[in-house]
Order: sequence, then C-alpha cells, then structure tokens
Amino acid sequence: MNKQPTEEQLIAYIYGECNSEEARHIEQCIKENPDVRKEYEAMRGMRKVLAFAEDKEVLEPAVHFDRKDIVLSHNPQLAGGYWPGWKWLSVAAAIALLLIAGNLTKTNFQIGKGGFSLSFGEPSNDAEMRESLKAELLAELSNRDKQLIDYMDGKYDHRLVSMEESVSEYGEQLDDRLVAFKAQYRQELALAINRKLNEDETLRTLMAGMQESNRREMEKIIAMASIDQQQAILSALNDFNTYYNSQRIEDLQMIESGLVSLAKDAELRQRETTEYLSNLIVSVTQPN
Amino acid sequence: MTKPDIKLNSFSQVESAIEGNKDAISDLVKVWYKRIYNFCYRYFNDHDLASEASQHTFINMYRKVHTLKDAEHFKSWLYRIAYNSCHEEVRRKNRTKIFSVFSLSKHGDESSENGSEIKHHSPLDPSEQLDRAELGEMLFEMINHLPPDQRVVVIMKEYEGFRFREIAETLDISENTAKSRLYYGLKSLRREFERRNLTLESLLS
Repeated sequence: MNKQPTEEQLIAYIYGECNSEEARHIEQCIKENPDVRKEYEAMRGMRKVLAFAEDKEVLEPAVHFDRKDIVLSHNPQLAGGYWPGWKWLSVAAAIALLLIAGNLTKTNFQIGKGGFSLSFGEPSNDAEMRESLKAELLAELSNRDKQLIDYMDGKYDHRLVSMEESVSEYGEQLDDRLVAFKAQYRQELALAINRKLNEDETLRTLMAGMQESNRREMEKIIAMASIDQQQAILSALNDFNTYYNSQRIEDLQMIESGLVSLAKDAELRQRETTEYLSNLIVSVTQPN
Repeated sequence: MTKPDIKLNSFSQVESAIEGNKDAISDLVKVWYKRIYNFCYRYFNDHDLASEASQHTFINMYRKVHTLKDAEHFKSWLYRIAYNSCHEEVRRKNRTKIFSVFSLSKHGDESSENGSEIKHHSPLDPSEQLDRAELGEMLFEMINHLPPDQRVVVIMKEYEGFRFREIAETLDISENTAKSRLYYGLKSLRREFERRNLTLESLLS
C-alpha cells in the first residue's frame, strides 16, 4: 500500500496544484485507501458547498483626486461634484421635500386683506362657520329689537303715569303740559322709529353682504365640484336662499306690524288721554 | 468552483499607475473595487467594515503604487494591502471600543494554525431545508468565525482564485503553510456543518 499523502499534498491535489508524479501517487492512495478516499470526497464536497457564498454586488465608487490624496465616494457630489447641476438638483429636491411635507401636514398658507395666516391640518368648514355666525347675528338683532320695544313700552307707560299724576295735581297747567308732552312724545316716537328703520337698514345691508359672500363661496365650491355635486349644491343653495328670503320677509313683516301696532296704540292712547283731559277740564270748569 | 475573472491587472495600466497616471489609478480602482470589497466582506461579514477596509486599501494603493517594483506582482501587492487594511480596521475598532468582538469573530484576530472550534449555533433539524441564500449567509458567518489566518487563505484560494504560490507571496508565508491553513480551514467548516446536523450530501442534493 502507498504511503498516505500529507495534508498539504492532498489539498494541492484537490486544487490541481501538484506535479504529475504527486498526482499519480495521490490517485493511487485514493483508490486503495478508504480513509484517504473519504477525506478526499469530503474536501471536494466542502469546496462545492463553499460556492454558495456568492459575491456581494457592490457599486463602484466615484474616484476623485484632491491635492494630496484620492477620494472614493459613492456620492458623486462628495467625489468632486463633476456635474454643477447637483447644486440645483439638491435645491429642487429640498423644495420638493418641503412641498411633500406641506401636503402631508396639510399646511395652509393664506395672504389676504385680513393679513397672513398659516395653519396645519384640515381646513375649517367656512360654510358652517358662516351659518353659525349668521344665526348668532340674527339672534343678537332679535334680542336687541325686543329690548328696544320693551324699552319703548316701559318708557311710554312711565310717561303716561307721570302725566296722569301731573294732571291730577296741577290741573291749571294741563294745557301747557299737554302740548309739551305731545311734542316730546312725537319727537321720541319719531326718533325711535328712525332708529328702528336704521337698524333694519343695517340688518338688510349686513344680510345682503353675507348673502353675497355666501354666494361667492358657494360659486367657488361649485366650480371645483363635479356636475352632480354642483347640482346638489345649487339645489341646497336655492333652498337656503328661499328659506332665508322668506325668513327675512317674515322678520321684516313682523317688525313692520309691530311698529304699526305701536303707532296705533300710541294714537289710541293719545286720543283717550285727550278725551280724558277734556272731561277733566269740563268737570273742573263746570263743577256740578 | 468558478474563479473570479481576474484579467484585471493589465500590466500597461499598472505601469501607468506606477508612473503616477491618475486616470490609470482611477481605472484600477474601478476594476478592482468589487474584488477587494468582497475579499473584505468575507473577512468581516459586515458591509460597513468591508467598505471601510476597501477605502483604506485603495487610498494606500494610491499613496504607495509608485513604490511597486514589478507590475506583474500588482495583484499580490494589492491584496496584501487589503489584508493589512482588514487588520488595521480590527485594531482601530478595538482601540475605540466600538468594535464588538461578538459582531466579528469570537476568536478575535488571534492566529491559530490548526483548526479550532467554530462558534456554537443550535443544531438544525435534519428535515429543515436550507435555500441557496440561507446557505450562503450561513457560509459567510462560518467563514467569518474561522481563525483569521485560515480565513484569509480560504477566501484567497476559494473566492479570489489565488494559486498557493501567490498566497504565500502575499501573506509572506511558505506554500506548505498556505496549504496547511487551507486544509484546516476546510476541515473546521466541515465539522461545523456536521455539528449543525448538515451533511454535505444533503446540502448538495
């Protein structure tokens, strides 16, 4: 039997790097010696398995030379900025990044007559806000109307009572007082009516402004919406306008009827007072 | 196994580089980068360390190429720089304490002529099938756990297509030492497969 090959001889044979004489010797050993054959097969198998650790793919770096050294970089800009456009590309990338971030955070930036505003998140529902403000304004106006009427009623009653007391205490001066009262009352009534009319005018102007603003907003929304949505919004707008106009007419009619009623009451009371005073004068001048 | 295509070192290109031609140096980097990176990657089994060592290799190549006497020995010369860069990278990491011995080799860089135990992993169920990629990753890990002087010979012979004479020249050892280190390296890998209940037959089937 041949002498067993050394580890170095066997490995050289496996890798095909031994001379022909050594190769013949090892081949003989492999044929004759099961241990050598087993070792040889195991080593060859191991080499086949090693082939599974394949090369990793890697990008070649950009190469640049500065004054003293070589610079290797996978970033072309760091490797010497071969293309001047990198600068502008990076600026564009930064702007794009800002736009994307703005879009993701839903940033709203507005410049208008009211100044400049910056907000994040979903925009607020302007239409709802306007509706809410309108309702508040109407409620406020209604409240003020009520206060005015109450005030006028209270003032009138107070004046009347005062006048009756004066008549009973100072019968001799009734004519002068009556004239003064009439003049003053008429003046106050005129002022009150004018004020009320002015209020109505302000209300109408305000409402007209809000209506116009709403109309413009809705037109914008309609312009952006699909045809179906436009039709739905138009329908809703028409309904709203109809409702709003009827409501406004009712309000105005109510105010008008209140004023008419007030004027009638005032006239009636004036007539009653005149009659009462006439009777009083008769009874004073012709006792029994 | 398929040897890498090492028609890489055109002598004229190397000679131009020796003469200081920067275009030739740049071309050499481009031609050799993948090979040197993979050499370092198999040494570390770590992309960052491999990239770092590759960078240092080519920086040193640029600085010292004018000292190369014979263009024919460029390949051995370059891999010696790469091997030294790998060593330097290990030392640098050890110095800064960032480098974790557990992330590379439990053996550190202590040389061992004979095969030693590769780090312990749970044996696999024999019925468990490994796909090609899994086997590849396992091999990278196992090679990385070989002692450094066996590891570098296995890598140079199996993956970089060196002849024993070239390995000896590069590492400044005898051819017989190179053969012996390779023999024990392969044997250690085989033992580790057996310890994991993986037979070569099952892996190759």
